[in-house]
Amino acid sequence: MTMNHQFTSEDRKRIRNGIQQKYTKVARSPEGNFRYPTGRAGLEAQKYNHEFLRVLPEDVLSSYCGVGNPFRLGPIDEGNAVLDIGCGTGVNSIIAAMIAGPTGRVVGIDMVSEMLEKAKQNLSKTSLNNIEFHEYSAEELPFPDKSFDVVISNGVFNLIPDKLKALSEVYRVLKTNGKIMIADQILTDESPSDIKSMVDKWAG
Amino acid sequence: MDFLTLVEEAGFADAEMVAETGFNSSPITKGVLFRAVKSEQVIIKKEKTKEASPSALPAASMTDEPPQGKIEYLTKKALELGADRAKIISTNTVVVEEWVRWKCQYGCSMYAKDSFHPPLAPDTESTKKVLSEYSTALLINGHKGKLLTDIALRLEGEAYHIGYYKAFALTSLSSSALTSLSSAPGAT
Repeated sequence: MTMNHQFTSEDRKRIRNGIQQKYTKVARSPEGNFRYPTGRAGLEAQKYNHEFLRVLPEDVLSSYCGVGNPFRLGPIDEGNAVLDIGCGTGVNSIIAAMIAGPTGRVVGIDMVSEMLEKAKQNLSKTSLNNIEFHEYSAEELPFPDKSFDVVISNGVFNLIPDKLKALSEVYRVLKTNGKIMIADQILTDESPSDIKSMVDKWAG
Repeated sequence: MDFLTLVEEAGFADAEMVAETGFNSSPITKGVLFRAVKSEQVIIKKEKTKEASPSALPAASMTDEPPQGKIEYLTKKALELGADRAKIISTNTVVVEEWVRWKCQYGCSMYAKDSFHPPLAPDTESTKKVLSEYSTALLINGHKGKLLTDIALRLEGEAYHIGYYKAFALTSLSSSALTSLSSAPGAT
Protein backbone atom coordinates (compact mmCIF):
# COMPACT_ATOMS: atom_id res chain seq x y z
CA MET A 1 0.00 0.00 0.00
CA THR A 2 1.47 3.37 -0.88
CA MET A 3 1.08 6.01 1.78
CA ASN A 4 0.07 9.64 1.94
CA HIS A 5 1.49 12.00 -0.65
CA GLN A 6 0.90 15.55 -1.75
CA PHE A 7 -1.41 15.16 -4.73
CA THR A 8 -2.82 18.07 -6.67
CA SER A 9 -6.56 18.17 -7.34
CA GLU A 10 -5.73 17.14 -10.93
CA ASP A 11 -3.77 14.10 -9.65
CA ARG A 12 -6.66 13.10 -7.44
CA LYS A 13 -9.09 13.47 -10.36
CA ARG A 14 -6.93 11.20 -12.53
CA ILE A 15 -6.66 8.60 -9.79
CA ARG A 16 -10.40 8.68 -9.23
CA ASN A 17 -11.19 8.41 -12.96
CA GLY A 18 -8.75 5.52 -13.38
CA ILE A 19 -10.28 3.63 -10.48
CA GLN A 20 -13.81 4.28 -11.70
CA GLN A 21 -12.99 2.99 -15.18
CA LYS A 22 -11.39 -0.20 -13.90
CA TYR A 23 -14.04 -0.97 -11.31
CA THR A 24 -16.95 -0.19 -13.61
CA LYS A 25 -15.64 -3.09 -15.69
CA VAL A 26 -15.20 -5.21 -12.55
CA ALA A 27 -18.81 -4.50 -11.52
CA ARG A 28 -19.98 -6.31 -14.67
CA SER A 29 -17.77 -9.32 -13.93
CA PRO A 30 -14.65 -9.53 -11.76
CA GLU A 31 -13.41 -12.58 -13.63
CA GLY A 32 -10.09 -12.10 -15.40
CA ASN A 33 -9.42 -8.67 -13.90
CA PHE A 34 -7.21 -9.83 -11.04
CA ARG A 35 -4.39 -12.26 -10.41
CA TYR A 36 -6.15 -13.77 -7.43
CA PRO A 37 -9.38 -15.82 -7.51
CA THR A 38 -12.70 -13.97 -7.53
CA GLY A 39 -16.32 -15.09 -7.22
CA ARG A 40 -17.09 -18.29 -5.33
CA ALA A 41 -13.56 -19.60 -5.84
CA GLY A 42 -12.16 -16.45 -4.21
CA LEU A 43 -14.52 -16.72 -1.25
CA GLU A 44 -13.63 -20.38 -0.74
CA ALA A 45 -9.90 -19.74 -1.07
CA GLN A 46 -10.12 -16.92 1.45
CA LYS A 47 -11.95 -19.25 3.84
CA TYR A 48 -15.25 -17.45 4.11
CA ASN A 49 -17.70 -19.32 6.31
CA HIS A 50 -19.24 -22.14 4.28
CA GLU A 51 -22.67 -21.42 5.68
CA PHE A 52 -22.79 -18.07 3.86
CA LEU A 53 -21.57 -19.67 0.65
CA ARG A 54 -24.31 -22.28 0.97
CA VAL A 55 -27.21 -19.87 1.44
CA LEU A 56 -26.28 -16.94 -0.82
CA PRO A 57 -27.42 -17.03 -4.48
CA GLU A 58 -24.74 -18.11 -6.92
CA ASP A 59 -24.88 -14.88 -8.94
CA VAL A 60 -24.29 -12.87 -5.75
CA LEU A 61 -21.21 -14.99 -4.96
CA SER A 62 -19.93 -14.73 -8.52
CA SER A 63 -19.72 -10.93 -8.22
CA TYR A 64 -17.30 -11.15 -5.27
CA CYS A 65 -13.96 -9.44 -5.67
CA GLY A 66 -11.72 -9.00 -2.63
CA VAL A 67 -8.15 -9.52 -1.54
CA GLY A 68 -8.81 -11.24 1.79
CA ASN A 69 -11.36 -12.09 4.44
CA PRO A 70 -11.81 -9.29 6.99
CA PHE A 71 -14.25 -11.43 8.99
CA ARG A 72 -11.28 -13.53 10.13
CA LEU A 73 -10.03 -10.59 12.16
CA GLY A 74 -12.64 -10.75 14.89
CA PRO A 75 -16.28 -11.23 15.67
CA ILE A 76 -19.19 -9.05 14.63
CA ASP A 77 -21.85 -9.33 17.30
CA GLU A 78 -25.58 -9.52 16.85
CA GLY A 79 -27.03 -6.01 16.86
CA ASN A 80 -23.77 -4.36 15.71
CA ALA A 81 -23.72 -1.39 13.36
CA VAL A 82 -21.21 -2.10 10.61
CA LEU A 83 -19.70 0.21 7.98
CA ASP A 84 -18.26 -1.44 4.85
CA ILE A 85 -15.82 0.96 3.16
CA GLY A 86 -15.56 0.29 -0.56
CA CYS A 87 -18.39 -2.24 -0.46
CA GLY A 88 -18.13 -2.98 -4.19
CA THR A 89 -20.85 -5.41 -5.20
CA GLY A 90 -21.95 -5.72 -1.58
CA VAL A 91 -21.01 -9.32 -0.81
CA ASN A 92 -19.18 -8.42 2.42
CA SER A 93 -22.00 -6.04 3.43
CA ILE A 94 -24.53 -8.83 2.93
CA ILE A 95 -22.47 -11.27 5.00
CA ALA A 96 -22.01 -8.64 7.74
CA ALA A 97 -25.77 -8.02 7.76
CA MET A 98 -26.44 -11.74 8.15
CA ILE A 99 -24.05 -11.86 11.13
CA ALA A 100 -25.36 -8.66 12.76
CA GLY A 101 -28.91 -9.97 12.39
CA PRO A 102 -32.18 -8.05 12.21
CA THR A 103 -31.26 -5.88 15.20
CA GLY A 104 -28.01 -4.84 13.54
CA ARG A 105 -27.46 -2.64 10.51
CA VAL A 106 -24.90 -2.32 7.75
CA VAL A 107 -23.99 0.66 5.60
CA GLY A 108 -21.97 -0.05 2.47
CA ILE A 109 -20.26 2.86 0.74
CA ASP A 110 -18.41 3.01 -2.56
CA MET A 111 -17.25 5.62 -5.08
CA VAL A 112 -18.22 3.64 -8.18
CA SER A 113 -21.90 3.95 -9.02
CA GLU A 114 -21.92 0.75 -11.14
CA MET A 115 -20.64 -1.19 -8.12
CA LEU A 116 -23.43 0.25 -5.98
CA GLU A 117 -26.02 -0.67 -8.62
CA LYS A 118 -24.73 -4.25 -8.57
CA ALA A 119 -24.75 -4.22 -4.74
CA LYS A 120 -28.40 -3.16 -4.74
CA GLN A 121 -29.22 -5.88 -7.28
CA ASN A 122 -27.44 -8.44 -5.09
CA LEU A 123 -29.30 -7.22 -2.02
CA SER A 124 -32.62 -7.59 -3.83
CA LYS A 125 -31.87 -11.31 -4.23
CA THR A 126 -31.83 -11.72 -0.43
CA SER A 127 -34.50 -11.11 2.19
CA LEU A 128 -32.26 -8.76 4.19
CA ASN A 129 -33.62 -5.34 5.08
CA ASN A 130 -30.87 -4.04 7.34
CA ILE A 131 -28.45 -2.74 4.68
CA GLU A 132 -28.09 0.62 2.95
CA PHE A 133 -25.73 1.40 0.08
CA HIS A 134 -24.47 4.94 -0.62
CA GLU A 135 -22.03 6.69 -2.92
CA TYR A 136 -19.75 8.30 -0.32
CA SER A 137 -16.02 8.89 -0.05
CA ALA A 138 -14.06 7.28 2.80
CA GLU A 139 -12.25 10.60 3.15
CA GLU A 140 -15.46 12.42 4.10
CA LEU A 141 -17.86 10.15 5.93
CA PRO A 142 -21.26 11.80 6.40
CA PHE A 143 -22.02 10.03 9.68
CA PRO A 144 -22.17 11.36 13.24
CA ASP A 145 -19.34 10.54 15.67
CA LYS A 146 -19.48 7.08 17.25
CA SER A 147 -22.03 5.61 14.82
CA PHE A 148 -20.51 2.15 14.22
CA ASP A 149 -19.27 -0.85 16.20
CA VAL A 150 -17.19 -2.29 13.37
CA VAL A 151 -15.70 -0.95 10.15
CA ILE A 152 -14.69 -3.49 7.53
CA SER A 153 -12.89 -2.97 4.24
CA ASN A 154 -11.60 -5.33 1.60
CA GLY A 155 -9.00 -4.23 -0.93
CA VAL A 156 -9.91 -0.55 -0.87
CA PHE A 157 -7.54 1.46 1.35
CA ASN A 158 -4.72 0.93 -1.16
CA LEU A 159 -6.83 2.94 -3.63
CA ILE A 160 -7.52 5.90 -1.31
CA PRO A 161 -5.21 8.88 -1.97
CA ASP A 162 -5.43 10.40 1.54
CA LYS A 163 -5.29 7.35 3.78
CA LEU A 164 -4.69 9.27 7.02
CA LYS A 165 -7.80 11.38 6.38
CA ALA A 166 -9.85 8.24 5.71
CA LEU A 167 -8.49 6.46 8.79
CA SER A 168 -9.19 9.55 10.93
CA GLU A 169 -12.76 9.53 9.63
CA VAL A 170 -13.07 5.84 10.49
CA TYR A 171 -11.77 6.59 13.99
CA ARG A 172 -14.32 9.39 14.40
CA VAL A 173 -17.35 7.31 13.35
CA LEU A 174 -16.37 4.26 15.42
CA LYS A 175 -17.77 3.87 18.91
CA THR A 176 -15.32 3.49 21.79
CA ASN A 177 -13.91 -0.03 21.62
CA GLY A 178 -15.11 -0.28 18.04
CA LYS A 179 -12.74 -2.00 15.67
CA ILE A 180 -11.52 -1.72 12.14
CA MET A 181 -10.85 -4.94 10.22
CA ILE A 182 -9.08 -4.49 6.88
CA ALA A 183 -7.97 -6.88 4.17
CA ASP A 184 -5.73 -5.13 1.69
CA GLN A 185 -2.64 -5.13 -0.50
CA ILE A 186 0.68 -3.63 0.57
CA LEU A 187 3.72 -2.97 -1.56
CA THR A 188 6.64 -5.31 -1.07
CA ASP A 189 8.79 -3.03 -3.19
CA GLU A 190 9.44 0.71 -3.16
CA SER A 191 6.67 2.81 -4.67
CA PRO A 192 7.72 5.17 -7.49
CA SER A 193 9.58 8.13 -6.06
CA ASP A 194 8.01 10.84 -8.21
CA ILE A 195 4.38 11.84 -7.95
CA LYS A 196 3.71 11.61 -11.71
CA SER A 197 4.80 7.95 -11.96
CA MET A 198 2.84 7.18 -8.85
CA VAL A 199 -0.37 8.74 -10.22
CA ASP A 200 0.15 6.96 -13.57
CA LYS A 201 0.43 3.65 -11.74
CA TRP A 202 -2.51 4.35 -9.47
CA ALA A 203 -4.79 5.48 -12.27
CA GLY A 204 -3.65 2.80 -14.68
CA MET B 1 5.45 5.96 6.62
CA ASP B 2 3.90 2.48 6.66
CA PHE B 3 0.20 1.76 6.93
CA LEU B 4 0.28 0.64 10.57
CA THR B 5 1.94 3.91 11.55
CA LEU B 6 -0.84 5.79 9.77
CA VAL B 7 -3.45 3.71 11.60
CA GLU B 8 -1.86 4.65 14.93
CA GLU B 9 -1.51 8.27 13.88
CA ALA B 10 -5.27 8.31 13.25
CA GLY B 11 -5.71 7.47 16.94
CA PHE B 12 -6.10 3.69 16.97
CA ALA B 13 -4.51 1.47 19.61
CA ASP B 14 -3.12 -2.02 19.18
CA ALA B 15 -2.87 -1.72 15.41
CA GLU B 16 -1.43 -4.88 13.99
CA MET B 17 -0.90 -6.74 10.76
CA VAL B 18 -2.34 -10.10 11.70
CA ALA B 19 -1.58 -12.30 8.72
CA GLU B 20 -0.83 -12.47 5.04
CA THR B 21 -3.70 -13.64 2.85
CA GLY B 22 -1.53 -15.44 0.32
CA PHE B 23 -3.16 -13.52 -2.55
CA ASN B 24 -1.29 -10.81 -4.41
CA SER B 25 -2.61 -8.40 -7.00
CA SER B 26 0.82 -7.90 -8.57
CA PRO B 27 4.37 -9.24 -8.23
CA ILE B 28 5.27 -6.33 -5.96
CA THR B 29 2.31 -6.50 -3.57
CA LYS B 30 1.03 -8.92 -0.99
CA GLY B 31 -2.38 -9.37 0.58
CA VAL B 32 -2.54 -8.73 4.32
CA LEU B 33 -5.05 -8.48 7.15
CA PHE B 34 -4.95 -5.47 9.49
CA ARG B 35 -6.85 -4.89 12.70
CA ALA B 36 -7.05 -2.02 15.18
CA VAL B 37 -9.28 -0.90 18.03
CA LYS B 38 -10.57 2.52 19.01
CA SER B 39 -9.71 2.12 22.63
CA GLU B 40 -9.76 5.17 24.85
CA GLN B 41 -8.99 2.86 27.80
CA VAL B 42 -5.61 1.91 26.36
CA ILE B 43 -4.68 5.53 25.79
CA ILE B 44 -5.50 6.29 29.43
CA LYS B 45 -3.34 3.38 30.56
CA LYS B 46 -0.37 4.56 28.50
CA GLU B 47 -0.63 8.04 30.04
CA LYS B 48 -0.65 6.54 33.52
CA THR B 49 2.47 4.50 32.89
CA LYS B 50 4.42 7.71 32.34
CA GLU B 51 3.91 8.50 36.02
CA ALA B 52 4.29 5.03 37.52
CA SER B 53 5.90 1.81 36.47
CA PRO B 54 3.44 -0.87 35.30
CA SER B 55 4.26 -3.00 38.32
CA ALA B 56 3.27 -0.13 40.59
CA LEU B 57 -0.23 -0.08 39.18
CA PRO B 58 -2.71 -2.07 41.22
CA ALA B 59 -3.51 -5.22 39.27
CA ALA B 60 -7.22 -4.58 39.67
CA SER B 61 -7.01 -1.37 37.69
CA MET B 62 -6.15 -3.33 34.58
CA THR B 63 -9.17 -5.56 34.53
CA ASP B 64 -11.80 -4.24 36.92
CA GLU B 65 -13.54 -2.47 34.09
CA PRO B 66 -16.59 -3.40 32.07
CA PRO B 67 -15.64 -5.99 29.44
CA GLN B 68 -16.46 -3.69 26.52
CA GLY B 69 -13.10 -4.04 24.76
CA LYS B 70 -13.53 -7.77 25.05
CA ILE B 71 -10.36 -8.92 23.35
CA GLU B 72 -8.21 -6.38 25.18
CA TYR B 73 -9.84 -7.38 28.42
CA LEU B 74 -8.92 -11.03 27.87
CA THR B 75 -5.35 -10.16 26.88
CA LYS B 76 -4.86 -8.07 30.01
CA LYS B 77 -6.49 -10.77 32.11
CA ALA B 78 -4.02 -13.35 30.79
CA LEU B 79 -1.08 -11.21 31.94
CA GLU B 80 -2.72 -10.50 35.27
CA LEU B 81 -3.22 -14.23 35.84
CA GLY B 82 0.48 -14.90 35.31
CA ALA B 83 1.17 -15.42 31.61
CA ASP B 84 4.50 -13.94 30.53
CA ARG B 85 3.08 -12.82 27.20
CA ALA B 86 -0.33 -12.74 25.56
CA LYS B 87 -1.19 -11.90 21.97
CA ILE B 88 -4.25 -12.07 19.76
CA ILE B 89 -3.58 -14.06 16.60
CA SER B 90 -5.61 -15.23 13.66
CA THR B 91 -6.33 -18.95 13.72
CA ASN B 92 -5.24 -19.18 10.09
CA THR B 93 -1.68 -18.53 11.27
CA VAL B 94 -1.70 -21.71 13.38
CA VAL B 95 0.18 -24.49 11.59
CA VAL B 96 -1.11 -28.01 12.26
CA GLU B 97 1.02 -30.79 10.75
CA GLU B 98 1.47 -34.52 11.13
CA TRP B 99 5.18 -34.43 11.93
CA VAL B 100 4.41 -33.10 15.40
CA ARG B 101 2.68 -36.35 16.26
CA TRP B 102 5.71 -38.34 15.11
CA LYS B 103 7.97 -36.20 17.28
CA CYS B 104 5.72 -37.03 20.18
CA GLN B 105 5.44 -40.72 19.36
CA TYR B 106 9.20 -41.17 19.05
CA GLY B 107 10.83 -39.35 21.90
CA CYS B 108 8.27 -37.65 24.11
CA SER B 109 7.84 -39.10 27.56
CA MET B 110 4.22 -37.98 27.63
CA TYR B 111 3.19 -40.13 24.64
CA ALA B 112 0.04 -42.14 25.50
CA LYS B 113 0.18 -40.92 29.10
CA ASP B 114 -3.02 -38.88 29.02
CA SER B 115 -5.62 -37.43 26.68
CA PHE B 116 -3.63 -34.22 26.25
CA HIS B 117 -1.05 -36.07 24.15
CA PRO B 118 -1.13 -38.40 21.13
CA PRO B 119 -2.54 -40.85 20.42
CA LEU B 120 -5.52 -39.89 22.58
CA ALA B 121 -5.42 -36.17 21.80
CA PRO B 122 -7.41 -34.99 18.73
CA ASP B 123 -5.71 -35.90 15.46
CA THR B 124 -4.35 -33.48 12.89
CA GLU B 125 -7.38 -33.41 10.61
CA SER B 126 -9.79 -32.95 13.46
CA THR B 127 -7.66 -30.15 14.92
CA LYS B 128 -7.48 -28.39 11.56
CA LYS B 129 -11.22 -28.68 11.12
CA VAL B 130 -12.02 -27.28 14.54
CA LEU B 131 -9.54 -24.40 14.12
CA SER B 132 -11.22 -23.49 10.84
CA GLU B 133 -14.42 -22.87 12.79
CA TYR B 134 -12.69 -20.07 14.70
CA SER B 135 -11.21 -16.80 13.44
CA THR B 136 -9.27 -15.53 16.44
CA ALA B 137 -7.13 -17.05 19.17
CA LEU B 138 -5.44 -15.69 22.26
CA LEU B 139 -1.90 -17.08 22.35
CA ILE B 140 -0.37 -17.13 25.81
CA ASN B 141 3.22 -17.87 26.71
CA GLY B 142 4.85 -18.68 30.04
CA HIS B 143 7.46 -20.84 31.70
CA LYS B 144 5.24 -22.74 34.15
CA GLY B 145 3.35 -25.42 32.25
CA LYS B 146 0.62 -26.27 34.71
CA LEU B 147 0.05 -22.62 35.56
CA LEU B 148 -0.35 -21.88 31.85
CA THR B 149 -3.04 -24.55 31.59
CA ASP B 150 -4.87 -23.11 34.59
CA ILE B 151 -4.68 -19.64 33.04
CA ALA B 152 -6.00 -20.95 29.71
CA LEU B 153 -8.94 -22.64 31.42
CA ARG B 154 -9.72 -19.53 33.44
CA LEU B 155 -9.62 -17.43 30.28
CA GLU B 156 -11.92 -19.88 28.53
CA GLY B 157 -14.47 -19.26 31.30
CA GLU B 158 -13.97 -15.49 31.17
CA ALA B 159 -14.38 -15.51 27.38
CA TYR B 160 -17.57 -17.53 27.63
CA HIS B 161 -19.05 -15.14 30.16
CA ILE B 162 -18.43 -12.08 27.98
CA GLY B 163 -20.06 -13.62 24.94
CA TYR B 164 -17.50 -15.86 23.22
CA TYR B 165 -19.55 -19.01 23.66
CA LYS B 166 -17.29 -21.13 21.45
CA ALA B 167 -14.18 -20.28 23.50
CA PHE B 168 -12.05 -23.38 24.07
CA ALA B 169 -8.68 -23.70 25.77
CA LEU B 170 -6.05 -25.70 23.87
CA THR B 171 -3.35 -26.75 26.30
CA SER B 172 -0.37 -29.05 26.27
CA LEU B 173 -0.74 -30.20 29.85
CA SER B 174 -3.69 -31.16 31.99
CA SER B 175 -4.94 -28.73 34.59
CA SER B 176 -3.86 -29.19 38.18
CA ALA B 177 -7.57 -29.58 38.91
CA LEU B 178 -7.95 -32.33 36.33
CA THR B 179 -4.90 -34.51 36.82
CA SER B 180 -6.92 -37.18 38.58
CA LEU B 181 -9.43 -37.47 35.74
CA SER B 182 -8.17 -39.88 33.13
CA SER B 183 -10.89 -38.85 30.68
CA ALA B 184 -10.20 -35.13 30.90
CA PRO B 185 -10.74 -33.26 27.63
CA GLY B 186 -7.73 -31.85 25.94
CA ALA B 187 -5.81 -31.22 22.78
CA THR B 188 -2.36 -31.47 21.34
